[in-house]
Amino acid sequence: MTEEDKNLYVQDAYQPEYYSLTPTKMVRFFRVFWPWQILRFIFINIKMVKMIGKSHAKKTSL
Amino acid sequence: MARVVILGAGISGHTAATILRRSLSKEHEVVVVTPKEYWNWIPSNIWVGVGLMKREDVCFSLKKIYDKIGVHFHQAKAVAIYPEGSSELSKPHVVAESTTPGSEGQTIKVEYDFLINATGPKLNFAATEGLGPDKYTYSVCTASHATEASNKLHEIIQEMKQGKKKKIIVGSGHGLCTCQGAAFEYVFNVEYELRRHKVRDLAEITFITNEYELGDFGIGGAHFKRGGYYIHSKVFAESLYAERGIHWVKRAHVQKVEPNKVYFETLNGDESSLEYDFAMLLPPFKGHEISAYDKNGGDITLKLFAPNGFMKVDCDYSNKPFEEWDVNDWPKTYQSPEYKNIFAIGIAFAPPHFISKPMKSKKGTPITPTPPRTGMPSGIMGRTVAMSIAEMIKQGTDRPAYESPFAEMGVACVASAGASLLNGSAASMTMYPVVPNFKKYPRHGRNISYTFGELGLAGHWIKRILHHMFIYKAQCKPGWFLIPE
Repeated sequence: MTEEDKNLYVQDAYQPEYYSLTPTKMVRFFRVFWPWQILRFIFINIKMVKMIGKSHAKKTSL
Repeated sequence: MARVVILGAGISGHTAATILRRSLSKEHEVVVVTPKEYWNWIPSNIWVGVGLMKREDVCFSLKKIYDKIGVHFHQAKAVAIYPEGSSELSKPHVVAESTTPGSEGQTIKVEYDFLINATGPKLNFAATEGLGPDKYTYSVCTASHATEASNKLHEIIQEMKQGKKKKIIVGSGHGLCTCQGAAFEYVFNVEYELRRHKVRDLAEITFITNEYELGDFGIGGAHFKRGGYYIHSKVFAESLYAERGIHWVKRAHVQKVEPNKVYFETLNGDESSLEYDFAMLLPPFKGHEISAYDKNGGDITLKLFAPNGFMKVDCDYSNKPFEEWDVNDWPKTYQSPEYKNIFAIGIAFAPPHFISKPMKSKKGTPITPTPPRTGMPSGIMGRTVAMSIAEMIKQGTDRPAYESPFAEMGVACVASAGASLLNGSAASMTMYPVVPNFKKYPRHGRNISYTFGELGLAGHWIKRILHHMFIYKAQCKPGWFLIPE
């Protein structure tokens, strides 16, 4: 790392971005890792279908 | 024979028209009056705005579909409603001005037994000086706007390829904007495109928003269970901005836009400006200017509509302070309290108040995201009202048979953060209910089992599938009615 690069890190500190949660390499890997994402695809769809089911019209209680 | 007239053919209006046509026998008429002759799958405008899709991929002609299923279609813009009839026509009717090429401006009168107002929002670019495609900024609110945004974006990408640095601003163009989700999606798709074109290091991207915190989305944000903690969507959203190197300015009201400069004030009273080479700023929304008259010609517009132009429905519009807001303030049947044969759905209904806590700057400028009414709730409202009207016609009653209380409605949202089947991503979020209910869910206002968010490639696949599925459904192809809203 050059002195110039180090200074860039100093500049970034104390910016809002500096305090944010950021993903590790493993998290970023799993975000595009097909086998894991296929499982997440199934899980998210089940979640959404259940939630959609709760939201649809019902007979009025008026 | 009954005639149901639907004003507008967006997600809610088109859903209502197709379901009514399917539910009612042919002796009854379903009539759509809408100024545009095409239907637009708005969620995919984001991809048109970065050049990954063309206008034709997200729009199709409504007339062909309506001819096929037996819905009468008038390409016209509603300008007045006579819910009690008038001296010229005794039945309730709508006056509309034709927008059909060749007969623009001609007045037509359409009688109705039931009326659904699904006119959507009027894009209020005029609220901020210099805002909008006719001035200095771009928009992705319509497919045409998105095409213009894409052309400009690719122009500056070409300049970046020559080694020029560029400043990009995306976000809300006013302190009372809604649909922050669309700006969220657009900024990440722009960032993804810049990386794809290998010019990311030459761009400084800033997201400017009227949200109190990132991830508010006009609904006060949401809490998710993650890593042993309940985290607010602020953490989720900020993480993504920080990861992608996108700066942000929050709690901001854009005061005016000049060529290459955006001026804004923030809640704490600071005034500042940002320079830009390309800016996509969303406008605030207001209702379409439709007047209403009683049978004697007296103006009853404010009886039917709120001052912002959205139609009043079965909400509690009393001016309560934030601390007294209640989920029961929100509508259930979307029926007008004044006329039992009029309904308003989608963005056209007037919300009783904000969902996020209202805030004002030291100068008194309101800086609060207004309530979003995204595709899923709009579609559900369309279906509910269509089912109610069909039943009201069959039973001969003025009581809606179905309800979908807005406050008990969930929302599923898939926000694209980079479009690629191999390494793209999207934030998949569900929230239940959309309006926080602190009486039922005291800690977070929402059911945590149904409220979650995560980022990944699976979200992009879902977004892509939804694009094809909903266009298929909207085109009324075989089995369309089996696809839920």
